[in-house]
Amino acid sequence: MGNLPKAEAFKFPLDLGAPEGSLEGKARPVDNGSDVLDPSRYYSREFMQKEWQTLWPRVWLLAAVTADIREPGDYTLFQHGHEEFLVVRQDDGSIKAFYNACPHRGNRVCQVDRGTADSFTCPFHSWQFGCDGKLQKIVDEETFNPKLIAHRPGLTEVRTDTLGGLVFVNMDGKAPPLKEWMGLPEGYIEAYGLETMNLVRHTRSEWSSNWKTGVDTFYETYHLPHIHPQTQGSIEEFCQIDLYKNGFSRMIMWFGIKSHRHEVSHERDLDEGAKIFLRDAGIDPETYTGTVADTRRDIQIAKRERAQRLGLKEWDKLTDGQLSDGWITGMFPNVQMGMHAEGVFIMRFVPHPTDPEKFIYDNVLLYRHLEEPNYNVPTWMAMPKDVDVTGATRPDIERWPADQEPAIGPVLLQDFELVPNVQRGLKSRGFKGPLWGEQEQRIRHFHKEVDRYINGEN
Amino acid sequence: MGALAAVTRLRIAKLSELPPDTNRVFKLGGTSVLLCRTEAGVFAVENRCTHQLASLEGGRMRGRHLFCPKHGARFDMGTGATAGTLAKTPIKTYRVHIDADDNITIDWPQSSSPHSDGVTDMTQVQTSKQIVTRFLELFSSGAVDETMAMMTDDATWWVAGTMPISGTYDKAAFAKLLSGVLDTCTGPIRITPRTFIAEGDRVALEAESFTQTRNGRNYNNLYHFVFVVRDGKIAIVKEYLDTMHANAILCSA
Repeated sequence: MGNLPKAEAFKFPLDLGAPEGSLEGKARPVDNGSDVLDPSRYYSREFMQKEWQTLWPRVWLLAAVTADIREPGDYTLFQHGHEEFLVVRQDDGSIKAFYNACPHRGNRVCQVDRGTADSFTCPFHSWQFGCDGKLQKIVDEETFNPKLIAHRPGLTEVRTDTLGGLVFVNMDGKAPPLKEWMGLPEGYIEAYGLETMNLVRHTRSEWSSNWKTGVDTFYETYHLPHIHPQTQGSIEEFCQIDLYKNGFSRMIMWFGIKSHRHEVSHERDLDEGAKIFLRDAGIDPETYTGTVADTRRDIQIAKRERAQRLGLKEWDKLTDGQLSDGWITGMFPNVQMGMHAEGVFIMRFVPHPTDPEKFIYDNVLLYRHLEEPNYNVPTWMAMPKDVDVTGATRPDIERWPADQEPAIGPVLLQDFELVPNVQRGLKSRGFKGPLWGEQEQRIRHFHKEVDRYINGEN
Repeated sequence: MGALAAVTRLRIAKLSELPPDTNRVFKLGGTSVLLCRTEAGVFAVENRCTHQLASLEGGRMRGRHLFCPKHGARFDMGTGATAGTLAKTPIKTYRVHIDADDNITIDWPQSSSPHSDGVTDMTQVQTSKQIVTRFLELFSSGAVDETMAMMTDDATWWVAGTMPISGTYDKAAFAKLLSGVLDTCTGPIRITPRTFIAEGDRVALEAESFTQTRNGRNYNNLYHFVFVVRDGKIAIVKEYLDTMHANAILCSA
């Protein structure tokens, strides 16, 4: 039953052999050259300013998930650097987004993370706006020169669009339509049915590096055996890498199977991590008869059987690979989504409002709840105990002060500790620029696209 | 002092008066209480947001949570706890009970309660006050027939003191007295209520009157009234007043 090649035959890059043009199929190679880029992009204020001139306003930014704004009047805030947007579900079911700045004096009109409302009142002088952003009331209006307010100043709207349960905004209003701009194959996001999932965890921590240093860290698996050695018995770091248009990319990571370089004493020598993946799939590792080479396939079979038993139609659209593997998906410029059958792990690398050497790591876990004993959020997603995952309560954002370790689980914490060290070295006189290998080709693909914006080509 | 704060049960409303997914303000003494109903239950909170002290009435609700309609501060209606950074102080909450007859009662701190035992029917108290208020409006309009129509057939009106007009009147006798007094005045006797204290069917209030007599004198008395209300009408009135002033102005007119 073992379908793994022997370690010596295990060559990078992987091609899982799915049909070309399918969602799983290997994308055609892209030649991004072998330039060594100037590392000042990671720390200079000039580069940060350029990003605010030619990158951020021109792209679609992931602003929200529809799970957070299901009913008319539901709203959520989206912060990006110094900008902030109020995203509101309208009475007709559509979604509008506004700059969260009062046209009167600039104050942040909405100052709570999310909620539901009939209108918005600025806390400063109680100017009131509808959910459609239109001005409803100016307090003591007769004390204003009528010419000053003749245009009935409302909240400034920003262009918005949705795709597969994700809400995006485009500041300059000139980006191509979202569907065109989205570099992923058609139906890629939709296959997972994000709109039927609930947001079960939201963490937000401040990390001490440029936002791109953060993206780079999460865009490759090359560092797994070194920074996350505990994953060697349950995650294969060699992966299929696919570069898509417009800076998008994907890597398919095998979960629930040992790394090709992980040594075992015998073929049934299951790592504790692999046992966890088996257990999550409903297989008892104590009575499991397979070998270390069989776990991924057996997890697929067990999950497929369970989905059929539970009538879980959403999984019909997913390949066996999607049941076991993580499709780690890079959405240009600053989002990575771990796509899994049970849920989706969204990380946003949000630029700091003022400091190019800090970013906000915003982490959202979407999960499809099933009323089924022994079915829960996969263990590796590191959910705290006793958190409601039924969707009845939307958890608040968990935040930590900048100097405090965030409770984001042991693996992400290893990245949290890694990143400031990388950031420091990037600034060294002795560092000449990153030397990216083929396992890191997603990073180069991403930076090439950043440069197209910075150079005014996009 | 015991460990537990002494509370009184106050009956606020019938469940039927509070449709699902609505909230409604009830005035209890000087406190505004918001009664809230969602699929998570019935909750009672002080109707004052701790952020900028706005009324929470009409705020949207989700499960146990209430959103201030002004700025969106969110409160747990069961515990009063806040979420987020906007409001830092919890709102006051009151434990809610619903009996087999769908009466909603809340635990009210005893120190701020009008009395100390049993269940006070807040709906009845509100109603009694409204009836007395309406009655005094009619009285102040000078429309004797309409005023009398709001008194029960067996109503009595007692006037304090030893004036010629002091004593207990039945309805017909009081109508006659009132008409006689009004004949000596240039307009109706306007009675302005000042403060109410109510308990069940009894309403006590301080009030002030004003009128002018045909011989050009001002009648401006101060009162303490006790009303007993029955079936939406006034059954008993006890009128305490400055009898010297009344005697001097009205009985010598």
